[in-house]
Amino acid sequence: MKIIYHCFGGSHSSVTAAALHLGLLSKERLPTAQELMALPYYDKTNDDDFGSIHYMGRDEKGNEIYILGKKSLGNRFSHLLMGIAEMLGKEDQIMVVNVMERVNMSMKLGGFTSRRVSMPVLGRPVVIQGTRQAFASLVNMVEVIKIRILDLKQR
Amino acid sequence: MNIIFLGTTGVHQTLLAAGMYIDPKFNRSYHTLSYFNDYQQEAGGHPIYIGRDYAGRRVHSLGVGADVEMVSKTINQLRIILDSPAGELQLIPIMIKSQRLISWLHKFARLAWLKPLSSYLIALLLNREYDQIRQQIPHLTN
Repeated sequence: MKIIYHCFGGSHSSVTAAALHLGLLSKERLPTAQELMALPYYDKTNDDDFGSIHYMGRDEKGNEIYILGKKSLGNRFSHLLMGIAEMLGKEDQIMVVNVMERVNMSMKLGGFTSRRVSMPVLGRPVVIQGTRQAFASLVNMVEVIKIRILDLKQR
Repeated sequence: MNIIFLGTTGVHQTLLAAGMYIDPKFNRSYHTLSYFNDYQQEAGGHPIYIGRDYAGRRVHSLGVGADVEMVSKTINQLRIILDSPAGELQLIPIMIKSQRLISWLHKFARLAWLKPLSSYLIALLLNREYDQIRQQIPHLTN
């Protein structure tokens, strides 16, 4: 199965969720700034990355994990991607996860300042702090997704 | 094989393009198009199935918001990730000058009592852009 985590920029929340899914971050403790910055794509994307589906790795069950930045398209983007998958007869091979609902104001402000305004000196500490604040919620979301994947595979 | 007409909204210019593609004799009677200015349908985000063309290909209309190019890129990458051949999905962007105004007017269709006015104004705009839309449909220009 292919799992696509998507958020506004594909740079912070979706990357963190994908990293949790893949075990690149421990879910038992808060990640340090260095651990977050060591993740591929974390606070490193630019405008060209919008709309690009980036491969993050394969989980322990063989599922392929991807991230995607979709700007402000909201949850309708999940429907759009699932609609395309249905059109191709592949809807059972994909799960699309909107991470935006777990994003807090610090992540939005810091991410905007770092990536959109290109002032990482100001934005990066804020988005890292926001990621740490949202971490428990992201852990919970990924756990729910893993259960849903198991459930889908057992049907 | 699927053909998707995509633009800022999926219930106006792309719907019209899909209708013209399936029936080249379509006569500008926008209100006869299923889903024309349908707010709920557009808000859902799903591709809208319109029908089959002369070759039996499935034709869809899709609204993707302001950044049509970005979503085209995503759809093409998704097709590759899902291991589908390129011929399985053809994207035809429909871009017109008044697309932002149409998107704005479409918001009024959310209110039932304003929908007729919204539909009327959008139909006027589409009428002005009819030739521009027609020129972007490959089957009709070749």
